Amino acid sequence: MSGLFSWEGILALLLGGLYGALFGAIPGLTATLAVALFIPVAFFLDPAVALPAIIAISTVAIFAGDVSSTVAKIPGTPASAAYFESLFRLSRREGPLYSLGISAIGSAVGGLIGSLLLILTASVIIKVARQFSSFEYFWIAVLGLTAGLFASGGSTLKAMASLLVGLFFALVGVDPTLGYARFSFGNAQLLGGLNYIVVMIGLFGFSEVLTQLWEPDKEQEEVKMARQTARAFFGRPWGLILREKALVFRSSLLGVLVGFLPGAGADIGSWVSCSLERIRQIRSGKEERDDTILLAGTTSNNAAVASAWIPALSLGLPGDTITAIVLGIFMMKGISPGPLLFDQQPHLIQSLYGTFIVCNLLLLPLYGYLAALLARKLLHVSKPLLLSVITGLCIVGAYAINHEIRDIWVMAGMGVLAYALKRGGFPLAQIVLGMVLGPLLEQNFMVSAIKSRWDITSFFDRPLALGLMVATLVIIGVGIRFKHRVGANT
Amino acid sequence: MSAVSIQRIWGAALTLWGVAILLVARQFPRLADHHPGPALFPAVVGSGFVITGILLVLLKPHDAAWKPITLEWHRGLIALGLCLLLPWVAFMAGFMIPLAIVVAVVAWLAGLSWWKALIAGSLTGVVIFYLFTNLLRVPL
Repeated sequence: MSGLFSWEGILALLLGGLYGALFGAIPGLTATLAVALFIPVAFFLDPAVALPAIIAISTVAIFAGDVSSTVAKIPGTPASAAYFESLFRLSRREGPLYSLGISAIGSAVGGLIGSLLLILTASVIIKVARQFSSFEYFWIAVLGLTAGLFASGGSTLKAMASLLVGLFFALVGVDPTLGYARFSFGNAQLLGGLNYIVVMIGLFGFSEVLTQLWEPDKEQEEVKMARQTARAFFGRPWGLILREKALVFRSSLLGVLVGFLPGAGADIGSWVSCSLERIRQIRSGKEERDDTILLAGTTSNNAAVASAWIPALSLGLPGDTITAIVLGIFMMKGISPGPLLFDQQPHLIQSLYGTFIVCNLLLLPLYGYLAALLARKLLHVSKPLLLSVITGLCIVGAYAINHEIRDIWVMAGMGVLAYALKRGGFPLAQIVLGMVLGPLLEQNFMVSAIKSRWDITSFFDRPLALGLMVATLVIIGVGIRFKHRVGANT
Repeated sequence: MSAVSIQRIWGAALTLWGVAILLVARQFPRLADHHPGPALFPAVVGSGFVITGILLVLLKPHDAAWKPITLEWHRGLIALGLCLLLPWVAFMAGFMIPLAIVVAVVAWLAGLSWWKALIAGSLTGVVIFYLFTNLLRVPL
C-alpha cells in the first residue's frame, strides 16, 4: 500500500478525482474518455501511482455523470441514463443537494460494498465467471431488455417501440459475426456504427433545447428554493439508505454480479437494478418513488465499477472499457494479469483494494458535495443562458467523442427524433438500453447458434442459462400482470 | 390533433420503418448450412417494428396527459439549421467562432436581448473551447 499512502499516491487520488469530476459532469465526456486521455501520463508513472489515479478518475466520473442529469437533464453516462429522469425530478422537488447526496452517498455505499465483496469473494466469483459462456451472456442481454421494457412507467407497447429503435441503431455498421456492412448505405464513416454517447447527447440534451425553443410556454418544473444545508447532502440520504437497507444491498450485489461479467459493466447493472425497483413499485401498487429508483441505480453502478476489475486482474479479460485500457497499461509496464498476479504482485493488489475503499469513503463524498454546491448554483442560471450553454456542450461533446463532424449531424437528428417521440409519449431511455444491449444480444446469439450448429435447444440445457431464462419469464409474467393492474396495458 | 391520431401516425411510421428494414435486410447475403447470415437480426427488429406499429394503429392510447400545443417552429428550426451548418463553417473558420455564433443565436432565440446574447455566446464559446482544448486536452 506504499504507493497509495505516499504523497504521490495521495496527490494522484486527489487530482485524478478532480479530473474525473470535470469529465463526468460535462455531457459527452465519459469516464472512459477521461481514462483514455490519461494514458500518456500513466505511461510515465509508477503503476502503484497510476492505478490509484485511474480508479479515482473512473469512480468519481461515474458519479459526476449525475451532475449533468441534475442541471441539464442530460445523462452523463449510459449507466446514469437508467435513472436520470428520477434524479432530475427529485432535484426539482427536493433540491440538488438532497438528490446528489443520494447519488454520491449511494455511490459510495455501493462502491464500498462492491469493494468489500471484491476483496472477500474474488476467488469464488472468478470460478462462477468461468462458467459463463455465450449462452449465459445471451440470456443476460434478454433479461436486461425485458426488465427495461416492463420498467417503463407508461405504455409497454411504446416502450417496446423505443427499445426497437435502440436495437435498430445498434444494427448500423459492421455485423459482429461476419463483418458485413449493414445500414451504412455506402458511407464509410457509418461502418463503425452509431456511437451511443452521441445518440444520448442528441436524445436527451439537444431535444431539450428544441423543446424549449419550440414550446416556449411549456411549464418549467420549479426548483426548490428553500435554503439547503450540508445536512441535505450528508444527513438525509443516510436516513433513506438505512430505511432501504435491503434495496441497497440487493442493488450492490446485482452490480457486483453483472460487473464481473466481461463486457457487461456498470451500465447493465444500473439498468437491471432500476428496472427491478420500478417493477417492485408497480407490484406494490404505490406511486413511483424517485429516491429509491435513484438509490438502486447509483449503488449498483458504482458496485459494478469495482467488480469489473475482477476479470481484468484474474483472467486478463476486461470487465468494461476502462479495465480494457488498464490492461493496456499493464502490458506497457510488463505486468501480466492473471491468477499469478495475486501471488507475484501482492502489494499492487493491496494498493488497488485500498484505493477503492479510500475513493468511495473520502473522494465521493468530498467531490460529490462540491459538485452538488456547483449544481445548486447552476440550477438558478437563467433559462436562455442555460439553453445556450447546453447547445454548446452538445455540439462540442458530440464532436469530441470521435472527432467526427458527422457526429454533430447525428446528434442534431437524434434531437429531432427525440422531440417527436416525446410528443408521441414514447420513453427515450429504452432507446439507450437497446443500443447498449443490442450488440451483446446479437453477438452472443450468433456465437451460440454457430457453436451449437443452430440447435436452439442448446440455449436451454445449461443450468445457468436455464436459470436466467426462468428469471426472464418471471419478469415477463410479473410485468404483464401488474401493467394490467395499473391499466397501462398497451 | 388528438392523442389517438398522434399514436396512429407513429404506428404507421413505425410500420413503414419496419417494412423498409425488412426490404433492406432481404438484400443481405444468405449463407449455406442454414446460417441466416447478417440478415437475421435486422429481420427480427424489422418484424418487431411492423407488429408494434400495427398494434399502435389498432389499440387505444392511454396518454391521458396529452394536450395540444402551439409550436414556434421557426426558433427551433433556426437552431437546428445552425447546428447542421456549423461543421462546414468550422472547416474554414475553425471551431471557436462558429460555436460562439450558434450559442449566441440560441441565447437570443431563447429570450435574451441581442447584446446580452452576443456577450453570452462569445464568453460561452471561448470558455467551452478552452476548457476542452487546453484544460482537458481534447482537441477541437
